[in-house]
Amino acid sequence: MGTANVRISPSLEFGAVKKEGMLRQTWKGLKKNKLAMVGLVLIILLIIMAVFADVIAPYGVDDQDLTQKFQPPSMEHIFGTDDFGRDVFSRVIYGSRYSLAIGACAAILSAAVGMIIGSVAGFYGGKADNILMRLIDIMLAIPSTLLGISIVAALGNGIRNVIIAVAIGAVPAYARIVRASILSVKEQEYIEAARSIGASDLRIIMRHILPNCLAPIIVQITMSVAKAILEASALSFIGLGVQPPSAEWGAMLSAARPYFRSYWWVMTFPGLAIMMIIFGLNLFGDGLRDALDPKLKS
Amino acid sequence: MDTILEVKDLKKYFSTPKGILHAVDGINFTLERGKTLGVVGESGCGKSTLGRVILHLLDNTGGKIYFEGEDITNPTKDQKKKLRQQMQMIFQDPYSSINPRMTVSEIIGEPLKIYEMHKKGVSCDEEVAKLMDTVGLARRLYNAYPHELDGGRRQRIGIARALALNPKFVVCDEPVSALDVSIQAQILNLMQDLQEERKLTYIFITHDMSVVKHISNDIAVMYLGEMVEKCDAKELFHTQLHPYTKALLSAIPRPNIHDKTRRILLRGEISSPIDPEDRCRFCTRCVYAQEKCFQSEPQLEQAQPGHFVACHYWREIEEGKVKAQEV
Repeated sequence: MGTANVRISPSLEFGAVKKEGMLRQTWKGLKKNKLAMVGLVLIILLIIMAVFADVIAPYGVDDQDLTQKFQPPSMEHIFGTDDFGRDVFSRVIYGSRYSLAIGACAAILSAAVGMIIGSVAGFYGGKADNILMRLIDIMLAIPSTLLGISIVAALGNGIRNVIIAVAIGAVPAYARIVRASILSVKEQEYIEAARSIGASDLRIIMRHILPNCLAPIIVQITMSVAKAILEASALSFIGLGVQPPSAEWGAMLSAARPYFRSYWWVMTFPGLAIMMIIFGLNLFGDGLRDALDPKLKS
Repeated sequence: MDTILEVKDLKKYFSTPKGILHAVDGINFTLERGKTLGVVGESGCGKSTLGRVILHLLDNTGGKIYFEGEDITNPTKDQKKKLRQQMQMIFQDPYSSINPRMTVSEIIGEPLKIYEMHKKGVSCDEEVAKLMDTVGLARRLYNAYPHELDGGRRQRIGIARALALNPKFVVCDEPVSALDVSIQAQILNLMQDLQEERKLTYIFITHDMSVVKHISNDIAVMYLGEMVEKCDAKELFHTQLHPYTKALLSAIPRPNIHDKTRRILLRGEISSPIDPEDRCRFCTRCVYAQEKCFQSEPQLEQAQPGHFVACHYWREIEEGKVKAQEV
């Protein structure tokens, strides 16, 4: 039994070299890119804000104090207060939760749906490809904001419907990217080899094809989180998304719009927050794309 | 006679915008257990397609395939799964035939996982380690990625993967043509040792005549989807009956400065495999071509016991009645 036990993990026995995976290589490339690191810091800041909002925010999200309304930025209220005397800083902090939830959920949802459609179309080709891709073309023909507006109008307001609307708008991009990369990987000999050892279609797609076209998908996910946040804010701004008094950044912008000329801070800070997070995600996405592109590796 | 594989009038046609491409067109042969059939021919003659059709990696267009006496021409899903265990393939390019995102152990262990061999009381890790020993891969490479290894080691991974399910029959599609000559010999010897140990039957596809001479019992020469000559390996290097085989063998470089044997240079266009006419497919390049060659297609016939040839004039060429025309 003694020898058998050793043999079960030959990797440990012979000190098999644990190898630098794709993640670590990408991280190395990413570290060299200063702008991408700035983006990453902004993203981490947002996540910390969302997770520890209760600790960071000095006031509650809905704490009204009508005697304190429209206070300019000061030591007490560093971003000032709004028309109900709520602390804008606290609301911006809490708002990150909405943005993060909408961005992440919409990106994951659209990635999942888009990857399934793209995989089926690319892998099976022929009729399935034609039908699915024409459907995607139809979706692409409608501007995504317009599509989002129509979907939310049909489904009704609320954060869940906003996520669905934003996710549907992002599906075509995923489907196209996944299909294109699958077409190039599908012809590789190792796919045929997998078939010859009896691998099922699902196994071939999941184990052999998708891991080899991961790079563009990861980049697309990063970029689409930014797009989802922006679109959700836009929907909230025109009154179709998350409804006041929820502290969603877009909804806050919308609510503050009438007072913008007299009380600039109410509208400026949520806007800046949106800008920063989109900026961060885009910088990070660009850096990730460069780090994952083998042609740019020295 | 213990026949493991019999192929009758096997056809594989591809439809292309220009017409029907006859990639494999009526191939017949039988293969005995433990022997090696070398399939040679130039690029695009359908030799790889033949191997893939036999393994059902491509669907056949017509004909029959019998494996161990069983008709496997159109297998059901279950039959196919069983066949995959018994018939395997070693691929040509060790760089593109293994998944770059998987480690050595994952690649070799995948067939075991698919067939759930490890559930039958065999530890998957141990089985993989044994397979690595069998093909001569150091165990320290257990967690290595393919891109860290050279072509020879990669090809050993491919061989280990093919052997994981303990197949009886292996199609080797130019397994050494992408390797250095020194590595070629190692891999060929490994394959021969494995054949002896495991009583494997090989179909060895190649365009390298010296390799095929080394490893084959029988050699089949293919030209544009058809078999033009088939006989014992030694015999073929001694007597070639088909003009194409003569030209093919005369092209092997001989490392002898005093060797004055003339090479037969083929001229003319290769006729198209798309919708071929009813004539000898080699006639456009054949130095012996007569009128009849342009009018009807020769069938494979037995010239001598065990020696088959598809040429209208092999007798006359042998007897010197039909002379080569100088172009």
